[in-house]
Amino acid sequence: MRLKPLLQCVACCACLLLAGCWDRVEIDQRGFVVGVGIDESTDKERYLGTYQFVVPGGLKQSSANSSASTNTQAYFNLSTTGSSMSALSAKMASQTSRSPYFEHLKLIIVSESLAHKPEEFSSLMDYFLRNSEMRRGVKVLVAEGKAVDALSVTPKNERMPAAYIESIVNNNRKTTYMLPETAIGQIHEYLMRKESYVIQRIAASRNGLVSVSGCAVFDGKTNRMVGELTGEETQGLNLLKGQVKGGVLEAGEGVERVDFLIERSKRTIRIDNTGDRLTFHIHVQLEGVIDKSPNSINFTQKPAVVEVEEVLEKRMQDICYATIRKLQLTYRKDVLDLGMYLYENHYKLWKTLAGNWEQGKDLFSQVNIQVHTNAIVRRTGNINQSHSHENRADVNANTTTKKEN
Amino acid sequence: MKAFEYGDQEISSAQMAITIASILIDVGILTLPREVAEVTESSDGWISIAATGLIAIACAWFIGKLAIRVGTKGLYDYSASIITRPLAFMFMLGLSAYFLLFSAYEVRSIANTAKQYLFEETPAEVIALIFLLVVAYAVSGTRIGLIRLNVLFLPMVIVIAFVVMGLSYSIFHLGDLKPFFITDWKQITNGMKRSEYPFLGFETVLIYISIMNKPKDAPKAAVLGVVVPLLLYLLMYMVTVGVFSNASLRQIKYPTLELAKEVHVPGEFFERFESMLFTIWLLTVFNTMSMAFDCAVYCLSALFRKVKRTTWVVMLCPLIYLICMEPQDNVDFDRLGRLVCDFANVFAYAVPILILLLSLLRRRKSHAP
Amino acid sequence: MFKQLFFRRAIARTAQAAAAGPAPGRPLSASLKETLEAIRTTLHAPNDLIIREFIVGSVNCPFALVCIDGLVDNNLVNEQVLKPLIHYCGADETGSALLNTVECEVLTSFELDRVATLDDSLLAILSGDTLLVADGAATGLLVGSRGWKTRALEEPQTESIIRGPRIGFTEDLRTNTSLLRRRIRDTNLRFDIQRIGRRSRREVMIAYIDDIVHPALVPELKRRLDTIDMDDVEGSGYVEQWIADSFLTPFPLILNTERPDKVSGALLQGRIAVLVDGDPFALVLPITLSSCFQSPEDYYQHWLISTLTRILRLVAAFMATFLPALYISLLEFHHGMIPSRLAFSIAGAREGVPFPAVIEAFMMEITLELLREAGLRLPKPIGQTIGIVGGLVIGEAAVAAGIVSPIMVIVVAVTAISSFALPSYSFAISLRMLRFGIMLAASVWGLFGVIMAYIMINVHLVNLKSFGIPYSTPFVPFFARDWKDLILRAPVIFMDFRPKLTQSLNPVRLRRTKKR
Repeated sequence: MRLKPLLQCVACCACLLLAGCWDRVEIDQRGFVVGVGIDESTDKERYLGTYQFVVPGGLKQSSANSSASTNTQAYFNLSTTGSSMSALSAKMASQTSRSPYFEHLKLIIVSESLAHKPEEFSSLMDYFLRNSEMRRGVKVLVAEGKAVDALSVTPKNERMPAAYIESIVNNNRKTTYMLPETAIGQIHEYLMRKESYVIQRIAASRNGLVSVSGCAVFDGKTNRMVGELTGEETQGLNLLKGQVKGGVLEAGEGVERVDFLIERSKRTIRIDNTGDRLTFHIHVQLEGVIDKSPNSINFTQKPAVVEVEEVLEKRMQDICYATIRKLQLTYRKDVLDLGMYLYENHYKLWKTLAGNWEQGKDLFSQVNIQVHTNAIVRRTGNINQSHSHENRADVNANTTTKKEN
Repeated sequence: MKAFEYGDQEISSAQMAITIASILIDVGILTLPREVAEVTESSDGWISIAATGLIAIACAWFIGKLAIRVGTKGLYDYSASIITRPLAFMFMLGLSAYFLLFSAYEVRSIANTAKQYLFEETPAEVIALIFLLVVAYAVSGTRIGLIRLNVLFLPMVIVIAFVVMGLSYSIFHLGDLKPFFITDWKQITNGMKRSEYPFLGFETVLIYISIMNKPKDAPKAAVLGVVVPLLLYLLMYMVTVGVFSNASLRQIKYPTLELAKEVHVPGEFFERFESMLFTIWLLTVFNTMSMAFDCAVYCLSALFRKVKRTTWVVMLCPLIYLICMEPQDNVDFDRLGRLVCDFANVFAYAVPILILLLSLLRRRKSHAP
Repeated sequence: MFKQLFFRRAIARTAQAAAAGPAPGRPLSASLKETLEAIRTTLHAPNDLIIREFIVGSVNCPFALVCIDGLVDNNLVNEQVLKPLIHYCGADETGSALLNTVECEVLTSFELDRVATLDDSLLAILSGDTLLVADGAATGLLVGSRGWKTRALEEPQTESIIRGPRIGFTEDLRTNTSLLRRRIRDTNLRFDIQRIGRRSRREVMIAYIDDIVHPALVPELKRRLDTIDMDDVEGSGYVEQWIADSFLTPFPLILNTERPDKVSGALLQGRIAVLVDGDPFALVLPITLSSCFQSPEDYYQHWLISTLTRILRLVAAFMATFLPALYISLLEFHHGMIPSRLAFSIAGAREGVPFPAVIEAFMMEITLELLREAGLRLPKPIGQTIGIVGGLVIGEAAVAAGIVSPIMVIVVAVTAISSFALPSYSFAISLRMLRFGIMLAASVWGLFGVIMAYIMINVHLVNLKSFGIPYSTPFVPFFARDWKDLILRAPVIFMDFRPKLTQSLNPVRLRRTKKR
C-alpha cells in the first residue's frame, strides 16, 4: 500500500535526472574562439567576420614532439559574411563542426574602414557586451587596414596570433608608444558617457608580425573614428593622462642624445578660471634611470644632472604640446579626460560647459592648456661615465690631486 | 531510536542576529547597485542605501520591542489579544502570503540568474524546481536546524563577498566615484524606494522570538542583523561604482556578478570567478528562502493547528512554484518584486508597529518570561 | 489478512518464549545428585563439561566441582580449588555449614561468589567459572577461574600512529578494563556491566567517570542497551548500529577505536565508552563531526604541526568528497572557469577519449573501489602488490589505450589518497558514499548540482543528533571554547576546559597556578 506513492516519487525523481544534463557539453566539442576580426564586407552583407578557433590537438602535439610536425597548427581562421554579429555566429555554426564558444575570447579587432562609419562601432560592441559568454575584459583594437590581416600573421614564438597579439597588448610597461589596454568594459563606460575616447591600434607589417602602436581617436557623440595619433603623439597622450608605466623617453640628437628609462609618472591637473579663458595646468612628473647619457657627462656633479633633466623636460613639453595641438586643432576631441576632470572635481563649472565642450561652441579647442614638466633622474645605471673627455695627463693629474685631498 | 534531549533547543541572540543578517543578504544585492544607480548620479546612491538602512534599523528596533512582548506566547495569540481574533487572523494570513510571495520571488530570481550565468540549455523551470525541492527538504527538518544552517553559511558568503571586492582593487578607479553630492532629493528618495527589497526580512524576529533563550535581546539582535548587511551593501555599491562608473553601471543587469567576472584572481587559478561567486551566493539565497518558507509554514500552522508541518510543506510547494513561474518577462518580474515590497510594508511593518503602539497605549502586561 | 497479522504476532511471541530458555530463578537443589543431574540435562552432557565429585572433610561430605574444559585455567582449578579441598580434613560440619567453612577457611582463590539459582550457575560455568556444590547446601560457590587463550597486546593495525603508546584492545574484556585502569586511576571511574544477547549472554561494559559525565547520559545509554533483544550481539558494531540515534544517516554517530589512549582521552572529556566482550573495538559516544577529524597523535605532537595537519585533513575531506564532482562540472559544464591555457590543453588531451567525462569518472571511481575491496581481502604481500599494480599499471594502461584521460587518473588518485588521510575510517567510508551522490548531481546540473548536494548534506548534518548533542557542534551551535581543539590545536597549557559539548559537570581539567 505504501509502495505505490513511493514508486511514484522515485519515478518523478528519476525523470528529473534522466531528462536532464541539458548543458553537458564535452570540452573537446567546444570551438574555442580566441580572436574575432571584423571587416567591411565586399558583397551585399554588412560585415566580414573572421573567427580564430583554437585547435587544442595542435597545441598538444607540438609540445610533445617539437621537431616532427610543424604544420599542425594550433589555430585556424574562419571567415564568413553576415549582417550582424549574431548572424555571423549562427552562420559560423553551420560551417564548423564545433560551434563557436566565446568564453575564452581575448581580442576583438575592428578594421579602420568600419570604425570610420558613424555608429558602426557602437553597434558592434553591443553584441559583445550583451552576450553573457564574453567578459568585460576582452581587448578591443582598431586595425590599420584589414582586421583579418592582423589575425593571419605568423608569429615566431607563439602558437596563435591571438595569443601573440594579446601578449603585446599588455606591453605598455615597456613602451610609451602604445596605450594601456582598452577593454570592452571601459569602452562601455565611454559609450554611455558619450565622451571621446582612444583605442589601441594595430598594424600588420610585412614580415608576418604586428605592431601595436599609436591609437585611434573616436568621437563620443557619433561613435566613429575621426583620426589617429602616431606613436609619438600617443606618447604625449600617455604623459598627459599620467598613464605611463614604463618605456623610454628620448631627447637630444647625435652624441648629445639622452635616453631616459621611465619608472614612474605622476600627473596633476589644476584649473585657473580667472581671466577670459579657462586654463588647465597639467603637471607631469617622470622619474627614472638614465639609459644612455649624452656624451658621457659626469653625473656626480649636480649641475650636469640638472642640465640633463632640463633637456628631458623640454622634450616632454614638445611632445605634449604636439599632442595637444593635434587634439585641439585637428580633431577637436577631448581624449585627455579634461572634461572628465571637470565633471569629477568641478561639477558646477562642468554643468555650464558640458553641452558645448566638443560640440556647439567647441570649447575644448579653445581652452588654454599649460604643461609643466618635471623630470627626476634617480639613478644613472651601473656606471657613471662610459668614456672620458679629458687627456690622459689631465686624468692622472686629477686623480693625484684627489689623492692629495 | 527515541531522541534524547539535553542539547540545545534555543538560540542565542548572536545566532538570531546572524539569522537576520543571512535573511537580508539574498538576491537583492545582485541587482541593488544597478537599481540605485539608475536613479542617482555618480556615487550618491550610497546616501539612498544608507537612508533606507537607517529606516530599516529603526523598524527593526520597534519590531524587536514588539517581539519581546510576543515572547513565547506566539504571534497569533499575542496579536489576537491586542487587535481581536478576526483581525489577527487576517494579519497572519497576510503575513504568510507575504512570506510565500517572498519565497517565490527568490526562487524565480535564482532561476533567472542561473539561467543567464550558469546554464545555457537547462530550462528555468527545472532550476526553480530543484531549488524549491531542496528548500522543502530543509524546511521539513527541524526549525532550529534552519537557524544552524544560517550560522554555518553566512561566514562563507561574507568572506567570498569581501574576497571579490578586495580582488577588484586593480580595476577600481577612485575617480569614478567623484563628484560627490550632486543628486537632488527627489532622486535620492527614488533610490530609497528601490533599495527597499534588500532590507526585507528582519520581521522574522517576531516568529523566532519563541526559541530565543534571552528574548530581551531581540531588538539588539535585530538591529545588529540589519547593520551588517547595510555595511555590505554600501561597500558593494561603492566598489561597483568605482569599477564600472555610474554610466555603465546603470546598464549592467547584475553588477555584482559582472564584478566577479572581471576580478583577476592572482595565480590565474580561476578565470570566470562569477560562477564561483554565484554558487556560494546560492547558499545565502537558500537560507533566505528556507527561513521565509518556514515562517509561512509557522504562520499558517498557527492558524490551523491540526495540520502537520510536513503537510504544510507539501501543500505550499506547488503554490510557491506556480507563483514563481507566473511572471512572463522581466517587467512582470519587477512587478512581483514591488508586490513583495508592498506586502511587506503593510503586513510586516505597518501592522506590527501598529500592534506595538496599541499595546503601548493599552499598557498591557507583556508575556515575556 | 488481519487475522494472519494477529496470529503472526502471537506465534512470534510463543516462539520467542520457547527460545528464551528456562524461566529464570530455578533454585539449586540441596541434593547434589539432583543439581548435577539438572546441569547435565540442561547442557545435554557435552564432552567438555567436567564434573568432579569428591569428598571433603572428616564427615565425608560429597562435593562436586563443575567446569568447562578449555575455558578454565586448569592449574588454578587444580591447585587453588581441588587441592585444598581434598587435603582438608578438619571440621565436622556438613551441608551449608561446611560450605561456609570451605569458603572462608579452605579455598585459596581470591575470586569467590555465592550462587543460588541454576541459571546463574550455568551462566557462570559457561563463562569459565568453576561451580562448587555441596550435598545439603542449597547454594553453590563460584570460583573465578577463567583462563582461556587470549591474544597478546599488539598495536592496532587500523590506527597506527607515529608517536604514542602502541597498545590496542584485545578481545578479552578483563584485559581491556585493565588497560583503561592503568591510564585512569580515578576513584570515580566506573565500569557498569550488562549482559546482552539472549543466547550469547555477552558482557557489555559501560565505562565513564562519574563526576565528569553529564548525569542524564548514562541512564539514557543504559536504557538504549536494555532495548537490545537479539540472539547475539556479535560485536561492538551491532551495538553501535542499534543504539545510534539514526540508522539512515551515512555519518558515524558513535566512534569506534582500538586504542586505549583514545578511549581514556574521551572519558576525560566527559564521554562514555562501551566495551563489548569479544570485540577489541570500543565505542565512544556521544561524538560530533569534530571527532572525525581528531587523532590521538595530534596531542602528542607540537601544536603547530597538529594544527596544520588538521587543516590538511579538512582539505583532504573536501577533496575526497568534492574533487571528482568538481572535475565533472568544470569539464562538462563550465568550461569558462578553467584558465585558457589549461582549458586548451585539457581539450587537446581529451581529443581521442571515447567516453564523456561523467562516464569516465564513474568508471574510474568504481574501479578504484574494486581495487580497494580486493586489497582488503588479500593476504598482506599480495595486497601491497595489488595496490601498486592497480594504481600504476592499470591506470597507465587505461591512459595509453585512450580509454581515460590522464587527468582523470590524477583526480581519482588524489581523491583516494585524500580519503586515506582521514583518521576516522567510518567517516572516510561515509564520504566515499557521499562522493557518488555528489558526482551524480554534478553530472546532471554542474556546479549548481554540486552546491545543491552540499546544501542537502548540510541540512542533514544540522538535523542530526548523537545522544542529544547536535552533530555539527561546535561548528554550530557555536561553542568558542571548543574551537581550541577543533582545527587549531591550542598549546597544552591553554586547553583548560573539557569540551563544552559534552556538558560535563566538572569542566575544569587544567590549572595554571604554578609558574612554569
